[in-house]
Amino acid sequence: MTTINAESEALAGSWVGRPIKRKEDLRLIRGRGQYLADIKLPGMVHAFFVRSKHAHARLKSVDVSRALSVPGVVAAYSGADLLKLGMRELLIPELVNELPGTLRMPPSWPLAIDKVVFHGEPIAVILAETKYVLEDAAELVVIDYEPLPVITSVEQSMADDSPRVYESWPDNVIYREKMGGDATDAFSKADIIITERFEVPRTGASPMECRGVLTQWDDHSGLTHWTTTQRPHLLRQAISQVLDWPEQMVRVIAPKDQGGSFGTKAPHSREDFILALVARDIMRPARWVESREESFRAGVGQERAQIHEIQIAARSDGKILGLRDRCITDIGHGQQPVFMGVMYPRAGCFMMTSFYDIPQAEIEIVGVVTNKPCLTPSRAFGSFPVRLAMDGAINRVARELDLDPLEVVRKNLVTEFPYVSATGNFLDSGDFVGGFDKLVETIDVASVRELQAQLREQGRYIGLGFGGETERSGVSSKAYVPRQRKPGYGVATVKVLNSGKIHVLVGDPPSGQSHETVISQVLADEFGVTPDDVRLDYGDTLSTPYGMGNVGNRMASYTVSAAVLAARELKKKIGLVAAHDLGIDASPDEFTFENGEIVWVKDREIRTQLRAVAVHLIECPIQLPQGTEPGLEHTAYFEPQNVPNMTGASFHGAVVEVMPDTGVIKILRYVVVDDCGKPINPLVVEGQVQGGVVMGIGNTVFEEYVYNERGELQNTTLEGYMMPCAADVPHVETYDHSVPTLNNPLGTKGKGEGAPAPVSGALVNAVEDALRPFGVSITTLPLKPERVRAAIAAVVSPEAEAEPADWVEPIVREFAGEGEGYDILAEMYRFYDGIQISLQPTWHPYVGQIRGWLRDFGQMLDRAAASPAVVDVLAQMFSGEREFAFQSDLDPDLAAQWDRLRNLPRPDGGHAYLDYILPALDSHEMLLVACSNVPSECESE
Amino acid sequence: MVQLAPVETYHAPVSLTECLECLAGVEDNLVLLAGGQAIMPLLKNRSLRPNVLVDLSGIAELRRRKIEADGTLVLGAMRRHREVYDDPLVRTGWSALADATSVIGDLQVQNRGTIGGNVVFGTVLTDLKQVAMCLDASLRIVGRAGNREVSARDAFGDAAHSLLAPGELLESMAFPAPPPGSGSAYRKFGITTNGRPVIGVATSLTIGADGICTGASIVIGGLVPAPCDARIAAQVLIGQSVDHEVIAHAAKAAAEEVKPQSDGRASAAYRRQLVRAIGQDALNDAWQRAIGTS
Amino acid sequence: MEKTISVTVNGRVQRKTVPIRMLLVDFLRDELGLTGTHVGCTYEGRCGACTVVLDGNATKSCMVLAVQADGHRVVTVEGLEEFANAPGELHPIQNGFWERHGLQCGYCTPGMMMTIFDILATNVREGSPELTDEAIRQSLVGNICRCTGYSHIVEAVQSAAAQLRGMDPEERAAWFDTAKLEGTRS
Repeated sequence: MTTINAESEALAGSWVGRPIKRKEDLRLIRGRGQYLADIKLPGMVHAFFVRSKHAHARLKSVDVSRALSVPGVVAAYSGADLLKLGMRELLIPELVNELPGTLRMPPSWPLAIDKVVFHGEPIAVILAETKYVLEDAAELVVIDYEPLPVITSVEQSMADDSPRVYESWPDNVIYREKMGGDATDAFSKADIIITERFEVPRTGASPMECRGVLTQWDDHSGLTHWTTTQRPHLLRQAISQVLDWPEQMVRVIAPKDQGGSFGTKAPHSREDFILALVARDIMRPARWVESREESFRAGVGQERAQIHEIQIAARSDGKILGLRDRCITDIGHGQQPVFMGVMYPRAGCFMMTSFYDIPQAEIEIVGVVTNKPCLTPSRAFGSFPVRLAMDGAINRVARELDLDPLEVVRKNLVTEFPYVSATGNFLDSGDFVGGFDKLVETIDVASVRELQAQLREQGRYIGLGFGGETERSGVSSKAYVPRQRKPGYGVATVKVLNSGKIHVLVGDPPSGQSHETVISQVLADEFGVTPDDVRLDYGDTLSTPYGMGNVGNRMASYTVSAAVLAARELKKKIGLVAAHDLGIDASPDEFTFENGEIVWVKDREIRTQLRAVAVHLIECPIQLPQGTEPGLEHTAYFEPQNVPNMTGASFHGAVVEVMPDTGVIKILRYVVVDDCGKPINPLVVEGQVQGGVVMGIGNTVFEEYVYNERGELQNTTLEGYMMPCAADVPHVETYDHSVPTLNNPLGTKGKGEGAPAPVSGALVNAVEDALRPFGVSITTLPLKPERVRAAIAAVVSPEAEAEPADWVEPIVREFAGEGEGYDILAEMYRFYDGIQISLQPTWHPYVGQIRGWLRDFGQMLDRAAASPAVVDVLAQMFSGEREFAFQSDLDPDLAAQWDRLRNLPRPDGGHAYLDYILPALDSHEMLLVACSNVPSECESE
Repeated sequence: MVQLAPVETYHAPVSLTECLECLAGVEDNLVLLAGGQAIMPLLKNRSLRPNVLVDLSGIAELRRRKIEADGTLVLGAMRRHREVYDDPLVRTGWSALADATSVIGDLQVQNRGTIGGNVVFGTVLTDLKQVAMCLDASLRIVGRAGNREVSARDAFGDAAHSLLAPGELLESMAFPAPPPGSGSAYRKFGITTNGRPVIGVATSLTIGADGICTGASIVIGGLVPAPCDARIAAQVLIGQSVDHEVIAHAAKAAAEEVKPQSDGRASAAYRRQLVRAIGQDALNDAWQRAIGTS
Repeated sequence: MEKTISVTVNGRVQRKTVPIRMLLVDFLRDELGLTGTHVGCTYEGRCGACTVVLDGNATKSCMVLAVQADGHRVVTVEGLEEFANAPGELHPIQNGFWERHGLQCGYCTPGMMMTIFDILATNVREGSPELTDEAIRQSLVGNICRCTGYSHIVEAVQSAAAQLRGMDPEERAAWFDTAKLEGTRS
């Protein structure tokens, strides 16, 4: 735990390195944050999106007229309406990356026109005076769908005869790329080759605050567009380009506060474009606040869906010679500007070798489309499944060669910098051996092994696992421009105000990354003031310089560096003027800045106030040195000169206990040793690492987005998608082993982006280590207790356990219960029970009919339970042995029930609780068919 | 959806009589609000669209706590989970109830949720039905037609049983005084700490001075269609000198007795395994409490 | 469809006519402009960001209708500083969060702090015994955070508890006496 007293470790007078309290906190702990949903404008209307209930369908008609008739509804638009207002496709060339592989372009209408390709695709938008009226009106929108076959898995998508998500495509592959080179040589020289297939489902980085937009148009200012975004300048440009509006008439503002982003607020959302068009039409501000369910259905935070078929070639001493990997990923619909669901697996594969020195690598990436939402960026950006595959494979090498995994890791670490990997990934600086050794020492491996042996004798299973990664700290223009035609530079405008205070303007908006405090600490040091004298403003395209956004560890390395360069430029000017004003012959670098003063190093008595120089330059610009312009502000750009990126790293170690009875995993200890170049605020760094690891634990152990075969997300609430709470996770210990980079002024590296990724490998390795006596191998996530238990049980069969004592058996026989048909009926009872319980003592909207239906269904269940013959027919129906159809001529009561069932209105909505009703109606149908196919004389009384 | 469908009328009666009058004559489209923890999501997502809401929070009679002459603990249906587990008498005398209420949801849910609401409105994934059955509780029901009492085992153990008729309310739950030498416990298994139970096991044991078990009850919830009253497993304990091995056998018997479902949360096989593992823990807890060593 | 209600919020009586279906969280945010309380999930009431203190108990305000708060007392995050004796002074809970970097994006923070209000109020009533980290974590089950990983939040609670322990019992109790808020406001 970092203590406040760590102040004494920092240089005297230095703010950088101190764990000071944050500036942003005061307003937030007083409840005075300004998040998107907190912003109101006069005359504002509320917006709501009507979204597709089918994962793949043609839209035969969309009728919003009944919604319009609800009092309080101001407007309603379908895709056809927006076309008339100038809606265009999103995937214009400017918003599509140039990639080395082959990329296909899907159609990409923000609001669907004639087809939908995922459950949740926006089809209509409604605007109303109050949010209450919105949902009332949304229910009245009538959409006529023609359902089409739904593709939900990689297997389906890649099958030769599969239906196409995009009709004009020859297959469902959106992207293919080969990276690295040829690893044939390495594999031919290998003593062993490890082959494994790892699979990670959709999971990711959903933040606590969902998305939102507040936008208005007026003919003088154009569009003023508040939105939850990480990249306001890029979005501004995108809106201008896609809608063909002049860029200077579009202003994007990131709200002062955002409740986390983790990459999910980096894409340009459809909703931004739709609402911009709508706002211009209705000439009133329009606000949309996304609900959690909406966010989940839209795929926000769904990432990491990667299969890795990995092979490692190694020597018998554990040295790794080469790597082959085939990464197959279910992209979803792919209609996402810039990222297209493809950038993350690409990036992950690109950095796959991480801190290992692997001379040859051959990686193939295949991205396929399905009828699911497109993957969105999520913290770690493609690396989470990659770490599982890579660190899991390394562990397997160790096992196969009967070596200690520690030794195998250590032997393969990169030791010399700079280093370029087989895929071209650049590592600029670091001390991997030192960092790893520190981890090993901190976690006290020897003691853990001793304890492990002792506990095994008691039938308890603890294990130790390692993981880790390198992270790119920002990426420079040399890498970005060929790819995205966007810059990678960090940029900041720094102003010294008349009062001697400092004002910094930065385009990248924070969402919890502590920009205000961190940048204030850095500039406080530069200018010799306190952090309270520095103010940071950000995220408004009107006042900040064009920059590529708050993503990928950029802040501490690129943005901070730009601020430092700007400050130093201003300090030169200040020094020049100070020397002039003081009447001394001194060069600008002969001054120190301290306590708001500029002091000459050669004679400390000779000094002036920062404020005085500022006033001179800004307000009273006479008698200035020759050639000096008035003003005291500067915009600086930073890119590392000689390298494409800087490199951070982290080493993770986990000690876990696995309960063999239940498969539950307890994390006893989790340790991270971290390189962030030079921590500016150690508390902030610690918070970033701890938060990232806990997100990684969530992704590894608890979280998974589950789709059914109709492409419907099954867990649309936080009850179903289980993010861990405080009681589910351990305290994460963080230790520093930072190696400053030589490639920026302060030596800093960003921190936070990658933190979840190594958790996958570390935890899986630890669990496998704990279960070593069982020889369990884990290749899929999440580590649900049931899965872990099943893996153990597969090895240790239940029969191997003690037989029941003689005296138990007779009791069981005497009291034994019902027959085998119960299992089939139990499923039907579930739905019956769901309706039953939710109806008492409350009433369902279809009340009279539902009461009657309940009675009918109950009778059918009783009949089936009493009749083995009916249960037999049901069993045959379930197994697909025979097809049955309802026989209407046999039994008039059955026929009457059948009619009543057929005429019962089906509720819509797709809500989890309504899942009781539709399957219950289906079950009833199944029962009626079964009962009608059994001759009545065969049934028992 | 986030917002409820329009609601016309809201009643907050302050007495049982007033409340029963509200319910009478309102045919359809009435929803009762107890703690709201089960009902509010259904209202917000518009599964339920009542015209009338009747809030039970103001009815003092529903919040009563009383020990009757024979030692029966009577808890009003509107007592909040937190009030129940904070009650020292419940913790010692009806430990399973304290155990269960303290693991329902989270602190906020426990502050607001009620024991009556949990058993009446909850779906299969709730905690108190199995406890009520295990502790032989009875449910006291009031209606304009009169009052009646039904045993929890009958009410909750039978899937087809409809607890309340239109116009009726659960007034209280009555927990009989456990015989001397009794201990009870509840353990549940959820995937995350705040998750609904995959299964929950309520146990109660009565142990004589000689260590012989004279009474046992094991009820497993989280199953469809109803909690399972594991009578066979209970028989494994009765008449035995209880120790860890006997408990292990009983837990195994319970695992074989249940007929669990497979669903999105767990497979039937895993549920069985959990019954065994969690059941063993719950039985051990009950045993320790019965013999006074915990 | 509507009802006129009187709710005491942060010590001040608020009398408004509201739709019956209005949630308490929307009453606080939209009717009263107290936007410190946040909404983080749909209808499931699981995230805890909307937690306020209702009659002294931590309660998810998205799971209560505004009409149900008629005649009751609500304290929101904005009310925490009202317990102080001097303007600008912060509640020990707020101090704890500030000292220990208990927040990053701040979205879950108000709800988190109001749950902690309940936890510490209870702790103070019981004579301020030591709180284990594990007990704190168990009490925060109803509040999800995605940024901090929870360690700094636990430290914030311990810091607040330590501040309180350093006061005499009356002073401690005063930080949680919601009735006191009404006395200081008219």
